[in-house]
Amino acid sequence: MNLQQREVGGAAALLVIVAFFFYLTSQIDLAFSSDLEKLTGPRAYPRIILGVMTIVGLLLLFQGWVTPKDKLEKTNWSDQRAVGFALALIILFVSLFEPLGYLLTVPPLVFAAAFLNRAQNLKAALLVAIFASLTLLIIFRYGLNTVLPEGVLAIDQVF
Amino acid sequence: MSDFFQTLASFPSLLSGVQLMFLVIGIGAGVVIGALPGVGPLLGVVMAIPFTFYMDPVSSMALLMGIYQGGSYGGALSATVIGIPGTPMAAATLLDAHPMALRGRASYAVTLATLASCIGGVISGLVLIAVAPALAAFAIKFGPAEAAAFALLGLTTIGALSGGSALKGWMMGLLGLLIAAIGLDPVSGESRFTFGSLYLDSGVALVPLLVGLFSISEILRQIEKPIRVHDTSSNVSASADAFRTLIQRPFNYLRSSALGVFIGILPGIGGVTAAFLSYRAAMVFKKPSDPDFGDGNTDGVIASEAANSAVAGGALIPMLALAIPGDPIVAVLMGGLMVQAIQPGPGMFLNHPEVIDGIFAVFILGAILLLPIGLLFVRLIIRLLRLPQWSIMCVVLMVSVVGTYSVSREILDIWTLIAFGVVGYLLRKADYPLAPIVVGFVLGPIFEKNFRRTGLISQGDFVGFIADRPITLAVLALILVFLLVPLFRYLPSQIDRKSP
Repeated sequence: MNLQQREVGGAAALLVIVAFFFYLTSQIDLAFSSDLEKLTGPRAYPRIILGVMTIVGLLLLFQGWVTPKDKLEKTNWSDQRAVGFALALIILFVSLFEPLGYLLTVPPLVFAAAFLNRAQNLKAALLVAIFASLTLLIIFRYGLNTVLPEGVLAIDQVF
Repeated sequence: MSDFFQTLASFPSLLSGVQLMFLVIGIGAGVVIGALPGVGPLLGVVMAIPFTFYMDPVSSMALLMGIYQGGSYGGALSATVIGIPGTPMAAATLLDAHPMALRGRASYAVTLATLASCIGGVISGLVLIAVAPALAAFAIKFGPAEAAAFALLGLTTIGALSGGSALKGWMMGLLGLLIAAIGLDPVSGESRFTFGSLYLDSGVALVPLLVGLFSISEILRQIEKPIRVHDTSSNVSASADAFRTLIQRPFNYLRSSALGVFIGILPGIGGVTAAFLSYRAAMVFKKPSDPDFGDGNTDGVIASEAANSAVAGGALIPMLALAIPGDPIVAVLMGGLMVQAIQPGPGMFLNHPEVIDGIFAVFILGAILLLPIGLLFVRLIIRLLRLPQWSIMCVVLMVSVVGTYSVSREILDIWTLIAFGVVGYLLRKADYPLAPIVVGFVLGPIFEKNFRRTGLISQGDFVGFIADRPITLAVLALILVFLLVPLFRYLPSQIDRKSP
């Protein structure tokens, strides 16, 4: 991908999002709005913003069009895979956070994140995962009086 | 003027022990966060926001502003010792402080930077106390048309002056306005863009938006491009020589601080420009006997550090008095006040004077405390620079996710966090600035409320209504200027490109 493609692609993607939101505005109910309110009301206000966004988006598209086709840094697919893996990991974490609880999900998340961030010393990564998770738990539980999900473990019995 | 001295005299009674403790924690954490390349004060303030839900407003501001002040200064430490500015603001400091360190004068350079940060902060705090109440007293007379125009001005300037493409800045500001429009309509209660979700009826929550955009996207970016860790020497301590510059070069401290405050007041410019402008001003007044700029010049370090620290006080003036955030960190601070159910702006001076006084006290004391904290813990902070980057990112990830969840114990907040993390990551890759989204998001409700009130009062005749309001007209003219500034920058560059 070159610079021009990135700029044009970015502007086009934003314009698609704007068009989608514009379509959504047609579904906003105006039953409770007065005639005067309809000028700047629940449907008109977002449409004004989307109208200005369309103008700016078109200008960005033009700006992208005249941008030189300079080469961008080549995409490293192994790095992209790492980013995708990190996202999948976070999604898995969120899905399990409440059912399994803090103690069973956060340390593995931190350990895996260390691995993805190229931690070379896995023992150190394990220690950071355990100690940082416990420290944060203590801060929330005793410092901020906030109970984090206990899941299958009852934290009250641990502390 | 008597109010000014009364406020100063009442400082000792304004802060409780707990509030002072949060200020010290904030400064300490801020200095460390600012010193670590790839983290910075913005991310630090964003990560601390979830913790402030459990605090009173002044304690919350003490923690956040401590991180802001400490973080603005912390960048100078890594700039001096390892030659990498922890924050972009410290890039000008690096030019002279790092050569000093290379010649074995790291202690002198660090003490100089700490002293300049402290003085810049105190001066900007004094200006804040003197100017913000007067500006708020003037702004309280504004009607909805003026308030809407000022909100629009904030949005326009941050786009025009945020560096890079102004169009991209404006697009992101508008995106922030659009995200703020999600939820129930504030007047009629009709659902907008909620997809039938009850969770979205109350709008997009500020914390997942902030943390996702800045923290999660940064983690993803660093997985892609890790930052290298440097070996550092921690042999740094306070230097008495640096304190002598207070007598030898007082005008540089004053001039640089004044410049920093002025630039801070102008929305969207920020500490980087302030530091470099001040640096250039110092070059004009160079003494023949001094080393060259870029080769360990004392005035270079003073100028850049005093200016970038003074920006903070300046940026708080429009935020507190007009609800216009002067820079991205101040936009997040504004969000920090809003989560405490406090609306910044002139009304805050009437409705929450105790919080205003607390903020003033926190700011001045924070600037003063920077000196002992910065100098006493400098060795420890420099040792922390040796921490491997992965460990820092792991802590950032953990605090971000768990902190966001803890605010309302709502798992959908973490899904929102991930969604904005991905959006932020993609926008960074396409070189779109993220800060204007936050500015648009926090200004969105203010703008919408006042824009729609203007529509109702004027019976839909905006032009006729605004024509009788000189302040609104003046602000709209200023907006037009800010819209044209990038065009004047863009056209000559295109002509230059085409000329042989």
